Amino acid sequence: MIHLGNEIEYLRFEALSRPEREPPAAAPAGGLGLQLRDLAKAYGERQVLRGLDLQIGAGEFVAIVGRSGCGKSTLLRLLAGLEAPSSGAVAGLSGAATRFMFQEARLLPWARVLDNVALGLQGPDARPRARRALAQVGLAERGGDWPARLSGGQRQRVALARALVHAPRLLLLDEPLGALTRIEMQALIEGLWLRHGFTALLVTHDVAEAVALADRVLLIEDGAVVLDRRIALPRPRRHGPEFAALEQELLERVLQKQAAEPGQDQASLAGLPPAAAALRWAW
Amino acid sequence: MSPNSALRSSGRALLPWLLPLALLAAWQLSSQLGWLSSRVLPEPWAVAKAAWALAVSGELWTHLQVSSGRALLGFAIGGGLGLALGLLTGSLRWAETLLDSSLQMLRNIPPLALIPLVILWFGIDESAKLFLVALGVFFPIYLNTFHGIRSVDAGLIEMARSYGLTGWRLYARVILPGATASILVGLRFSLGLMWVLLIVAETLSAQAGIGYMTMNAREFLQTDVVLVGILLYALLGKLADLLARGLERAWLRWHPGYQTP
Repeated sequence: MIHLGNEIEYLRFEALSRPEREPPAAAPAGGLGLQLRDLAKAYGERQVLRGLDLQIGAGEFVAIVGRSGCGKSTLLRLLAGLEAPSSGAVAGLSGAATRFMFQEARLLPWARVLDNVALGLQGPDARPRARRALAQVGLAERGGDWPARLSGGQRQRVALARALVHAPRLLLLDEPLGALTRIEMQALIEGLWLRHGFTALLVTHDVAEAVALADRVLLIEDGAVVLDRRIALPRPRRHGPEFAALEQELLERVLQKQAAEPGQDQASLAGLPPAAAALRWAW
Repeated sequence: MSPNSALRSSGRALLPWLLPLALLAAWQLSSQLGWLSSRVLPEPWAVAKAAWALAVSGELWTHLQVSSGRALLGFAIGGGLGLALGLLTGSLRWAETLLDSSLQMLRNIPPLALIPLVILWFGIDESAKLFLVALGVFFPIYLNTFHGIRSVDAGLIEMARSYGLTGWRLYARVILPGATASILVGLRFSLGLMWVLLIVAETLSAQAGIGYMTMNAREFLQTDVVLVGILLYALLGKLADLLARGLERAWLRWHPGYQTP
């Protein structure tokens, strides 16, 4: 990450200079608390989510891990209101206070960066607000550019600014962190979460990422939550023995299912060294 | 830049003009030597003189004005309808179900095949020419508008909806800009067709216009004037294409494929 130079310095400042955050119980009033009751989703015959019961505290940072097709992205789409549940309900949701960060940046290519950030804002202060949000992700000078001129990581940061400009109380992130820009985006998101106090739900393939960011890691298998693990490490989190132990524990739990259920992934995973920190175990 | 490379770059700029200029010279020469009868092809110099005479007398401008007026009015009617219907069928399922299959059937009829019917309906006056032009430009614009609306990235629409954009705002910010590239392709197609149909309509019967001018000149064996008319059509076609390119450059500035380096 040294080659990223000034950018990463800025991000460190964002992430590290914030005061230590209180545990989630004392979270700022800004975050949205959610209660999922028997939430289910089926596409035709295929049951994707089976009766989820889940409590998510206000201001909590929850990471959701699981194999491809386990239903974790569907859960996020239900919470975002992009799809309707087959049955069950979510208490505490507010569509206007929820913003979704997609896996791809999904910027409008025909709108300049600043107009992309201001998308959906109304009123005379829309542009100043967009400008401030853009500055928060370190792209203040790129407001006048076309999205095509930005790198993939920069586009994701613009998408993050676009979400934050609405001061969401619930931010849903569907694996928005590209492999190359992972570390800087993690620092950025953590810093912004610490500052704004929104509730964050992050879907990820990367166990290390979940341990680095989340208060709580949920593992979803076959449409049900099979593990709900609190991560009590102090922030900012650095790689150390405790971190590694937690990561290892989660990784083993995640792989356990795959080992029990021989699939195409198993053979390639068997010989992996334990040091594969950012192991992407689901394809 | 060294003199050598300057020479090379100016040479490259001149290269495309080499062949037309050589042809022009050969043409002029063979006319002067009497190899080419002026009934077949008048010498370039005579064509230039005829154009000058027509320009000075004002006749050229009248015909040009009449033809351009026809072309643009027919284009506005047909293109406007094509755009409106394309937006309608592209955006609303029921409109597609209602209209699209009928329009696809009509599309397969070449507009020129309708000439006998058009003459029966409208006679040989102005409305017949406008009808032919409008009909010809309608389909490229309609089809490309429909296609453009339908191929707008669904992910972007979903994103915009989740950011609170609905109705007209969604249309203006996401759907229309997303369809613009395709609509402009339709525009270029139909601009080409516009002149083709106008030429046919004007040679059919007219009291003014470039087609009238050339048909009139043919009766009096004025091949130089006929050639002026043909060259005028070429020029107008090129102008329309330049206009369409200009619009592409203005409206697709964001598109990496259209950015001027």
